Amino acid sequence: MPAYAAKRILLALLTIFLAVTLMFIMIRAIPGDPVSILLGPRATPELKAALIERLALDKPLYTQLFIFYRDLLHGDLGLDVFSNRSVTAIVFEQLPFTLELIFAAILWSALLGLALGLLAAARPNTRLDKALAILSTAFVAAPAFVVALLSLLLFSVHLQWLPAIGAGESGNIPDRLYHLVLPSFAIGLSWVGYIARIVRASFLEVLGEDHIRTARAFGVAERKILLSYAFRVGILPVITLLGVGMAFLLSAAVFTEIVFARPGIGQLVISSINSRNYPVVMGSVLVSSVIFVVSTTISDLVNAMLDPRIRSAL
Amino acid sequence: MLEIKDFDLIYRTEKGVMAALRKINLTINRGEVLGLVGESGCGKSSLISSILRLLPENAGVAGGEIRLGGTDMLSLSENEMRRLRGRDISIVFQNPMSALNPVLSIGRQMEDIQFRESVSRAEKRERAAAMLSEVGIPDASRRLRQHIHELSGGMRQRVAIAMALMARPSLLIADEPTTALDATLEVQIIEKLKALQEEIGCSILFITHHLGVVAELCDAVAIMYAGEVVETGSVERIFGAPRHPYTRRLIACDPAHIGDPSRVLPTIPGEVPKLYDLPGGCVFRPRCEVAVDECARTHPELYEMDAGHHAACIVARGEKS
Repeated sequence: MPAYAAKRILLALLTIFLAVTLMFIMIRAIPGDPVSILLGPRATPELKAALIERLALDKPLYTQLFIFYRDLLHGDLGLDVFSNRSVTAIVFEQLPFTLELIFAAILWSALLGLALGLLAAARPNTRLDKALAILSTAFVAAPAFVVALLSLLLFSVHLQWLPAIGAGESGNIPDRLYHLVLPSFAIGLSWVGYIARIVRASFLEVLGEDHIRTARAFGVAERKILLSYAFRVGILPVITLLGVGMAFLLSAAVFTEIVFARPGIGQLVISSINSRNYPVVMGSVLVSSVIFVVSTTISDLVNAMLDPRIRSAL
Repeated sequence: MLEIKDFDLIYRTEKGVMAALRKINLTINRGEVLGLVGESGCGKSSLISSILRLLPENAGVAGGEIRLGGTDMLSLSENEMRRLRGRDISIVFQNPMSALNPVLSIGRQMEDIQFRESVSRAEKRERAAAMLSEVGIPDASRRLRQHIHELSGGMRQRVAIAMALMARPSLLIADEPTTALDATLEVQIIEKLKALQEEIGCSILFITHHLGVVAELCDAVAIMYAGEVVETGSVERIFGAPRHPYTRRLIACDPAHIGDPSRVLPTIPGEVPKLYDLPGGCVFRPRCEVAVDECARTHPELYEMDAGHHAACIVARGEKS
């Protein structure tokens, strides 16, 4: 296990490095002079020169990349071009909003999805199973932005049960949670469907496997067979799905934050790309790729803990 | 020991009701090894599932009884049946790689099947290690920490046998335990099984389509065809003087009996009839070379040929008299 974990974490670091480097190059490849966009049309040549100097835009790309990584290793992501505040501080200010949104979404969708999936697997090919299949597929098919807009219309505008915008008063936890309900519902709904389907398929497959028949042939109690023999195998694909799911929820969070006017990494990415605020773009991209890589790595490590076949494979 | 009387099993399928096993009559005496031989799809696996009562939901018992040491297992409640499984009857499956849990250690699984014993986990583990040594696995305590995929093919089957014999059952069902192994390993496993059987004194129902193994290991043989037992008798009788035409063809097709290597491998022409569309009369008639008109009209029962030797063939019965 330690050998597997070391290899897997090394792989994760490499993935982050590649993603960040790629983004660094790509944002510089976008057409348009960043300095003119940043400073506006009436900027003096002296101002422009000063900004080019500050962002090291006159240096070759590899030097810029080197400077970026050198500063990163010191925890320095540079300064916001407009406010001159530390990008690290800005990113860490916005991060909790996105994380709480993703966690809320994955928590409710995983629990409900698991319950619906197990229910369907326990009664395969019955009316209940078929009804759940239709429901899950409908959930999967509903795009998060449609769900976001419709639920906003229904619950905030017509019924006025839930707040439409913002993330709630800072420090006021009930208020923060209250503001989380609609956005996490919107991005989590299709995940309920995905998870329910994969749980059903996975558990039905496991229950038909020979080793379950063996355990029954030895008289092992049915409850024990389900809880420790079948569950440990059936849950594996679900854990993998959840790891990848974090990434999808992260991208869903970008427009959900815009629809609900919530602060967060998604807002930050969009606004900083629009204004070519390079240091802030790099800061938020770095954080997003770290979230993605960390969540997939965790799901792989959990899987390896549960499944000895994975440990011996890598 | 085990007595199966006029047992009928059906499957409800989309194509209609399939009579998978029809009027099965089999007896295994205490300490006896019975070889059950037949082609794929002849009902061997259905018979095992019936004995263990681990049948799929669409299966149904249409008649007959299965007795183990006097108790009719078909009338037991699910809970009573569960008490029997793994204690009085246990089973070695064909493919130990898929028959053991892939994510739990071998030790854990061997501890779990001792759920009846009220001893500590350490004691259970010790017993498991002792059992592994007994089936010829060196370094048993290390093996207990491993998982099934970490072992070699022969080792896996030894583990499966160790698990099955752990509780010293009175009946062991071996479902083609050596089919997935190469010839050398097969001999080793068969010899080990034989030695353990003699030590424990259990009966074995040995399912195989390898006639050489039957001759090596078994006392008695039952030949199955398309859901019926067509011939039963001692190993000497079945191999020395087979009476049913199917048995004769089966023995003729065994590669061990073919002397001339240049000859085309013999086969039995035709195929096993579909279970939802059985021919009237004798089920083997469409493929039989000696069939007479009578065979299309009368369904043969197991007629006694000699003492303890039965065959379900009208023609063979005629030969006798």
